[in-house]
Amino acid sequence: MTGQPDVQTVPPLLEVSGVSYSYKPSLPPVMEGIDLSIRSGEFFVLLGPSGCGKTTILNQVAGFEKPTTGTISLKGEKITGPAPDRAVVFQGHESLLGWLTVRQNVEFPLKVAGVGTGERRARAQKVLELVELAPQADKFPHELSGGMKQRVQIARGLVTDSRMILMDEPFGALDAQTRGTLQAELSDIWERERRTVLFITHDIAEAVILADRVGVMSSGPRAYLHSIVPIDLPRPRRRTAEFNEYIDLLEATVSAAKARRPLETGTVAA
Amino acid sequence: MSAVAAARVDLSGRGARVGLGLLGVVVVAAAWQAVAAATGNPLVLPAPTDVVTALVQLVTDPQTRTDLLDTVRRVVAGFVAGSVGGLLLGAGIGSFRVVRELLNPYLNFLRTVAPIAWIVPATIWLGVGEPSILFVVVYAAVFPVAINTISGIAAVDADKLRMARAVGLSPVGTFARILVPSAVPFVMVGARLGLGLSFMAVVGAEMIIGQSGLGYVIYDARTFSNTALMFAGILVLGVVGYLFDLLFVGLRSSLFRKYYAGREAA
Repeated sequence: MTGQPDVQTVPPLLEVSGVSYSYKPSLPPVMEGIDLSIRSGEFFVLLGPSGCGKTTILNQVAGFEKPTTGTISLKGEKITGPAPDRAVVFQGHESLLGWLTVRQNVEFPLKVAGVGTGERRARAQKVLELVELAPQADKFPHELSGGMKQRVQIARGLVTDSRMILMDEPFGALDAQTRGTLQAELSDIWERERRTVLFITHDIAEAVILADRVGVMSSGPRAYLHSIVPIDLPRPRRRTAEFNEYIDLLEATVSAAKARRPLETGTVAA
Repeated sequence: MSAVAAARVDLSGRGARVGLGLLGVVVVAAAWQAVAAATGNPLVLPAPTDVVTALVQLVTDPQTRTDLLDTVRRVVAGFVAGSVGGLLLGAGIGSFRVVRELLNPYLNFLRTVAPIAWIVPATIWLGVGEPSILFVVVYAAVFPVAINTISGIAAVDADKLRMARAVGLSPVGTFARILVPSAVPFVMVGARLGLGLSFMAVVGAEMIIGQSGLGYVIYDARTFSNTALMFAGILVLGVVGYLFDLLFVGLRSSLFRKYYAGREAA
């Protein structure tokens, strides 16, 4: 895309360098040598098969887990644990507090941060409208559908001014139709809010719908970041011929990553 | 065939359930009456009619009303104190590894000891009187609440704790806003058990050192070889215990409904 600042001049918001992870020293690492930079305002999708360590990378960025080797820094500061500057959207909805209403759940991070009642209300209302949940604000999570529950989580992630939102396959447990709707909505919300997102998935189409750039992981153990594919498509992304070329390109890249060989040039038109 | 099928459908209705329950009571009472008549010795087995007579005397006697109130007061006081203690103990043990390692052996040892076994040492420490009876009732309520609270805290979903860390919630905040609310359904299971055990414990304590209370009434009835009065006392205990359980379940579903996320409370 034209008009974007030069990658070289803007320091990355998130820097992952030389990260590897093993459950035990006696076991081979799940992934190793991961180098990755995410720019401020970017929607970055990490794509890979299960067991490649992509969720582990997200957990390390969140600060829930520590890399065995290597470092992860946010704005030049090494990440040592979880902090409110990185909001997390989990795959399941168990992180929602069942005894609080939707509104109270969304206000929760603000309440913990000591934000006053009035401002809390206003900010929660704004994000609830953004995810189209304002009419359900006073319901309890168990009264909502799976898709709505994930929207509550997204609203909770957006309500603070966290530098990053980390999403771990947030639509993985939803039916295809709901997933499609939420993908389109998330792309739309992202375009309006321009928050930095790290999004984990194993769904190629999801990556093409959402990402500015897609990091493709090989399979584990000893998984590595095979390549980074920029998706240069206007939003909202429809199933155009160009869209399908990206699908083909990513499919070829995923196969190459699985076989641990470089992508052969000329095999895909895009 | 169709009549049988129709009867099956009827049996699932609420009216039919109540009817069957009453039928069960009537059948057992009739059998009891017959066996009592055949035994012919009210000292061994009083007839239900004798028991009803004794029951009427019991509930109309102002002294017995005092006994009933004494028992209820002891149960309520001991149960409330024991539950709060059990909640704090269980939450402490469940939340902090050091406390857990430190206290778990004691918890597992003490919870298997019958509360009434402590009545004699209790009288040495606290004297023959109310404090010793309360001690036994508190003891009965503490452990089911503590153990279920520990289970409740262990069952908290890992994502809730991760979310708490991600939004910057302090350990104390996590305890109060995540762990305890998540454990409420478990705590309630323990409390309901604890309430039942409190009723059992109070009777034993009243029999041994009580000067009043339903346990005392039942035990005292032996002085006059009044078996019918013993039965009447047991009947009152059963009914009061049952009513308190109903009250507990009612309060639980109105006060703590939101902690059950739409599930039926067990």
